[in-house]
Amino acid sequence: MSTITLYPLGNADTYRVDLPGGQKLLFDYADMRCATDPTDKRAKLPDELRADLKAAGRDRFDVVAFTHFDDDHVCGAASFFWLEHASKYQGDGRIKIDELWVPAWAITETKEDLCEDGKILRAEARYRLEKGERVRVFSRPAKLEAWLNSRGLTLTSRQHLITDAGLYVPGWEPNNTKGLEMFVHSPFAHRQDDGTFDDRNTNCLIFQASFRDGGGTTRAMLMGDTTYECIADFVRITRFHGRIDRLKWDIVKLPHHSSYKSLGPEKGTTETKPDSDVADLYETYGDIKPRLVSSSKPIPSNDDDDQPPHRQAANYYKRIARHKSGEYVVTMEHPSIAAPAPLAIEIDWRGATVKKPGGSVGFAAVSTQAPRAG
Amino acid sequence: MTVPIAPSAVARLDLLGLAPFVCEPDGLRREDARTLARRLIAGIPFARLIDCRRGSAGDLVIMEVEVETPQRTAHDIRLVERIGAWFVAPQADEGELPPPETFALREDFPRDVSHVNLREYEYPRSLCLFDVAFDELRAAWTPGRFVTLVREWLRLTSRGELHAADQPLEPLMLGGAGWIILPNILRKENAALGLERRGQIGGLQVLVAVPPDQVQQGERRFVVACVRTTPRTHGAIRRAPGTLANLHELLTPEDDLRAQLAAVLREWKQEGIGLDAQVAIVVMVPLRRDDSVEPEIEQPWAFLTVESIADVGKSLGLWEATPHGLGTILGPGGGDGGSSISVLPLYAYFQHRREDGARFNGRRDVDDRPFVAIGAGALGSQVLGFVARTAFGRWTVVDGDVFLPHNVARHALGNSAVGFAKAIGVASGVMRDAAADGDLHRSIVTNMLAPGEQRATLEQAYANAVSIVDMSASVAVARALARDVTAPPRRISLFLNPMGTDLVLLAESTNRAVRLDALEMQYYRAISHEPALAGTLRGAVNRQRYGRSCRDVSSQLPHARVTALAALGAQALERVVDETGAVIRVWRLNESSLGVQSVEVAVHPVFDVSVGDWRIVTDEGLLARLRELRIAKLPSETGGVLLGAVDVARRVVYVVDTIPSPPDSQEWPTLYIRGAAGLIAEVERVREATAGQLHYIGEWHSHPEGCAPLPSADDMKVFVWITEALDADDLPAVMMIVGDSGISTFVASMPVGRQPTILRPDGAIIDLG
Repeated sequence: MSTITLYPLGNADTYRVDLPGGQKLLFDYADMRCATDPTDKRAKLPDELRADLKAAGRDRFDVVAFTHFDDDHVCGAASFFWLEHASKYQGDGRIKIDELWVPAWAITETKEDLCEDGKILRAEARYRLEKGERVRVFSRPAKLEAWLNSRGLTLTSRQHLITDAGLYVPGWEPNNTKGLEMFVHSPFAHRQDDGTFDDRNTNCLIFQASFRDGGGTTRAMLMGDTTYECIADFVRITRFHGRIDRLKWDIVKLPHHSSYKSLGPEKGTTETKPDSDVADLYETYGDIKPRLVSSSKPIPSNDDDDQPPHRQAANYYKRIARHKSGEYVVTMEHPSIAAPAPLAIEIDWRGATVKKPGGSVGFAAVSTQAPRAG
Repeated sequence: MTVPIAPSAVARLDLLGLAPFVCEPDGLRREDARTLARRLIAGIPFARLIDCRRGSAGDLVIMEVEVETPQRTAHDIRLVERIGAWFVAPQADEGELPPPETFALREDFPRDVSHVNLREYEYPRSLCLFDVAFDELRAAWTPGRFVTLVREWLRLTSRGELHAADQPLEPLMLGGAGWIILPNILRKENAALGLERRGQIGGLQVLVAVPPDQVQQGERRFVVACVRTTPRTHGAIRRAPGTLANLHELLTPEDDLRAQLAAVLREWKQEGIGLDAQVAIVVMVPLRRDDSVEPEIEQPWAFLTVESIADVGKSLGLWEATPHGLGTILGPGGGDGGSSISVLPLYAYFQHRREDGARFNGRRDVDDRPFVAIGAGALGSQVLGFVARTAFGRWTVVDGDVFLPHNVARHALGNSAVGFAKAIGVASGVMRDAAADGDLHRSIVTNMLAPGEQRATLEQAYANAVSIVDMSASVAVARALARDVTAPPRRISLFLNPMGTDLVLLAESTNRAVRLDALEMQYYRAISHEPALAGTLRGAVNRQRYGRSCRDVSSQLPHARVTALAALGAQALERVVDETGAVIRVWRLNESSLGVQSVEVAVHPVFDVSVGDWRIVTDEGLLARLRELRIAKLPSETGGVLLGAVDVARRVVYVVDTIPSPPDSQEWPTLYIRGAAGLIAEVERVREATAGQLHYIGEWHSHPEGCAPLPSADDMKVFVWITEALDADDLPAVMMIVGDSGISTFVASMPVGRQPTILRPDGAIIDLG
């Protein structure tokens, strides 16, 4: 059995994938909680992650992937992880990263608005790429080659650390022994090179993760803060290559905290109308009884806030869930808005199950035995 | 997401009298119902209140629960299910109220799920949440836990894990009117059966099906009609029939119950069976796990008709009432096809078989190996009762005693057995009663020490047995088994100490290299050394006289204690028969704490050799000790006293133990003169500890290195002295000499008026010159 655990962090992403062999992959790290505010319902992320690692007897993640370097995906990472590029990030209790995954944009970005944690992670990713180990960079835009050349390195010498969209991540190809296959949908180098996509969100990481367990396959679409144009683009490209299986999904980690901008150009009044290729992804390629997960604040009942989540987008996702007898789950609403808790999705041969822990099952659960005999 | 109750479903709920009127939580009649509704409003995780209903028979709390279902479900359980908790209305005179009945209200909720209560209706499905009596859970019942339990039922069912694939097919519980016990013959074939009414419990009938000639004549008779059906798949039957017509419909189209029943009834009429009798219908249903496999079990469903055979026949159109009695209708006739015949479901059970006994007792299988048990007294009768229930062994019980009134105090048999032979009472009473399989166990009424005309039967039983188990509490019996009986099986002794605090198990090795008498001796030696066994042979206090003869005494010890040790003994026996080595095990029950301590005594290899016409039985435990004592004193000589027992009748000397050289002995390289300091006290201590079983039997001394273990002239003088000392008791004397090359044993006895005859190990007589 594998588990995806998503942490309630408001509009921010952090989720952990635990595999049957004990491997742990972390996607983004955003410690958003206000430590001085006792009413803040967001997860105490460093505590939660440390407790989980301790229980497993580990001090490291096999993979930490940053989909992009926006604050709501990297916040606090520089104080949590053991970073190799500078000794000040190597104190006791820091968590090690066996392999760091970043989009190429994260290496080449020079914009001034990058947050402090983003800058430190960029330094780390660059350090690892220069050293030539324990890093994986996704896509090879011209800018990446230029950056490598500026450091006296060639693209060829770092080829083995770079993976393009439309391929499996090395080590995570089909039929590996770990029970998880990772296929890359984004970022797409040509789109950066031709100027179509020129920011962090459109150049973020998107994977299709296929979990294999006892003959059953469960697919999860893991999306960063991407836009509808970007989704439509990878849907078209993948369809063009006839790789429909790579678009199928049972679970989707919805993009950008249920923002309408990840569905279509217009918010809509009651429901966002998705771009037709985006609609294909959700309506055609989603399996029955799917699980749609929004890593976001509770869905509002009005449009007072411009920021996601947008109720119109949520309504679209809810309709898809209902239509397919599945469910739409929001991290800050699970199990309740009053007391959100980490959301665990168990994956086994029966597919995905969203855990809904109620009271204790210890009370005479069916088929328990009485404590006395006679 | 809400799942609306379809109008038809609501109507059906109402037809069932299930609470048609919507009310406020406070309008519910039972406190537990109100609490559930209020808690749902206050918030139970993954559950919410839909509404509350009131009806004449009870109230309904309707809720929606979120279920932790996977994508690929085994049964169509949805992420949200609508559930009704039905609380039967409290009655004025009722004590504890039953738990709420749990209904799955979704119209298309799967019908083929397990762990449901069978009702006369298929909708709504009644979920079976508890597999222990609710009385056990009442104290812990809370609304939150109830909801958790419902959600857990749904979760496990959605995963197909509520009834695991390796679990046996669950019994289809169909009951209500009472119980019926069916004979095992019905498992294989139909049989003519009547019903004997054992009584009523809580207004429900208890009926036992027996051959017609065994039915005690009563005012109203019952006849059993057996019907066998084609195989059904687990979960195929989803409601309980109310009439004969319902039952027929349940089984169609695969089986025609009406036709099968009609054939039976016609036969009865021809046989002249009184048609005023009531019919019990037993339907044998072969049940399989799924459609693709063979049936695993044949399950009995039983129903009692309220109406008589005559009425059933009329309803089936077999005959009609005429002024001259019942006229037979030929061809397809009238009748209402059984819809006027009510059938009351009975809980049906088969008689208990030996294999069931094995299963319930945790044995993998019945053990049909033959055993002989000697002694059916307080310990034996109870051990045999236990092993019979466990389906361990086919036993021949040997005992020559009559069961006398005072035996009732401590025995598996009771007052009704007084005057019968114990062996018969135990084999044909206690043990036969352990299952309904008839005569598996035999008895031989005889004293094994003097079997008389039973000798051949007894010897045959010995020869066939895998083990002979002595529970006679008689040393004479144990010795006879060890040395006189020639049959090959291993011997095992099980006995209590006189106080009834210790249970002792002595088991020979399967190759009989270590025999029962030698084990007895090693047990005595352990008693005199092992602190855990101290005092075991202390005499019983308060001996009770039960008759006028000198030997009509019995000890005073509680039956419960004998039973506790007998229960341990039965288990110890089951285990030891699968071990090959010789065993001495003791279980000691602490009289004040009632704790039990087990003691394992190491068994040493035995030497059983002839010296003249005597057998010397000793063991490596003693010989190793003698060698150690010699080496410790080299180059000087040393020695000591030998303790043991003598079986004069069988001419066996058991050399068991030593008291090493007393401190006032003189030990020189060429001379040993044994001292006497503390010796008398030590001999006396051992004698007392072993209840006189071990006593002084002679002396040993060592020879220096390079010197053969042969007696010197001085040795012979000593030997003569020992022999004379023991002569008063007519016992032989033993002298052992321990040297480099071995240990030699000499036995001397004093024929009347002559010098002692001294036998060398090779049997030659030593000339005393």
